[in-house]
Amino acid sequence: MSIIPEQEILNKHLNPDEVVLRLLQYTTFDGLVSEQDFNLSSVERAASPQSLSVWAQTFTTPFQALQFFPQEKRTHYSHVTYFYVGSITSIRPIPEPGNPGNVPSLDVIWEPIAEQLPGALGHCGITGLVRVSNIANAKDYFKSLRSQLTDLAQKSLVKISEI
Amino acid sequence: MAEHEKHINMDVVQQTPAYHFQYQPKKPTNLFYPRTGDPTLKIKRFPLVELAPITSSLHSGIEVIANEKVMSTSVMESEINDIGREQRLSRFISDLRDKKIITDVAALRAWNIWKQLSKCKGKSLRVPDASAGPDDAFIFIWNKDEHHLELEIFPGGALDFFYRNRKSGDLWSSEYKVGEILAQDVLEKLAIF
Repeated sequence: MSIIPEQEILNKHLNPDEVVLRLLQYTTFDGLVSEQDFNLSSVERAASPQSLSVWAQTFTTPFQALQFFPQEKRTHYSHVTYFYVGSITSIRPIPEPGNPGNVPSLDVIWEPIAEQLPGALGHCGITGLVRVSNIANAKDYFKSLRSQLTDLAQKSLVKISEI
Repeated sequence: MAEHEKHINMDVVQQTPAYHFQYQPKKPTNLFYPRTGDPTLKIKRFPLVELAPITSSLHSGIEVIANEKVMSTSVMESEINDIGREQRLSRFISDLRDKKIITDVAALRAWNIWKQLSKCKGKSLRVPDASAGPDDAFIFIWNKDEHHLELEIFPGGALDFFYRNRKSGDLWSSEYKVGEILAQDVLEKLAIF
């Protein structure tokens, strides 16, 4: 029996040197990355695990990633940014919580889409970008992670129309 | 190079222009309360409040760089640039509303909150960066060197202030509802910008 490739990699961690891209729809007034692009959507919050959608550059281009959105939504995504997985996973909330184990680090896992469209295999998710329940200052830790991710995204921001 | 310092070798987006302003301390005021005799927030469809265009007398003798970086600390120059920037912010919010990225209510709420904050700080508060967000949210963002301040505005009138110091790691946050008076610590954070 042949093994479906998606099942082989589902929920596995990406290598630190892998590059992932994130489509952005909330570019700011000044043309910069917005923190709002790192909020989980309602669909992402309902998923298990909760994860922020990104795409492995090895398997998916920005244009291929756009095809997975409804036609009327595609024009909202004007920019794309790129990260090394290792840069994402090294982000920690600053300052660290009293017990660092209470706030897990960010991670990037494979979440291939079971559709026969180019780029489907490259879908991944950033986990850990949530408010951890039952700890003090959970919102601050979340926003610290989100803010650092935004600063990181700023360094590799590209207009999709210029690709 | 540390992991978190690695980045793709691509073009960097333009940096936010720097502004100079004079901070005029004011006593905290009642913020977000509608005008006297108007107990509800009336929703006007169009347009958002537009400022008067800059007159030629203000332009005379003043050099304004195309990308709005002020070359001197003159209050008048910074006021001119801030007026232009505020007009563009108004248009930006209007465009988001016209493209139905945010609703009329969210657009007007965001604009009114900015106007109230600006008035509260004696018009010395820098015109912020801004963006829409999912589920009709909106955010104002101020960045100055290591200082980062954001104000998230949620449907229903919830307001979340969040401050982060990139150098020291200090974090601060405060939650409000539209109609509540801002405390001194919020005004102190706004004074940084």
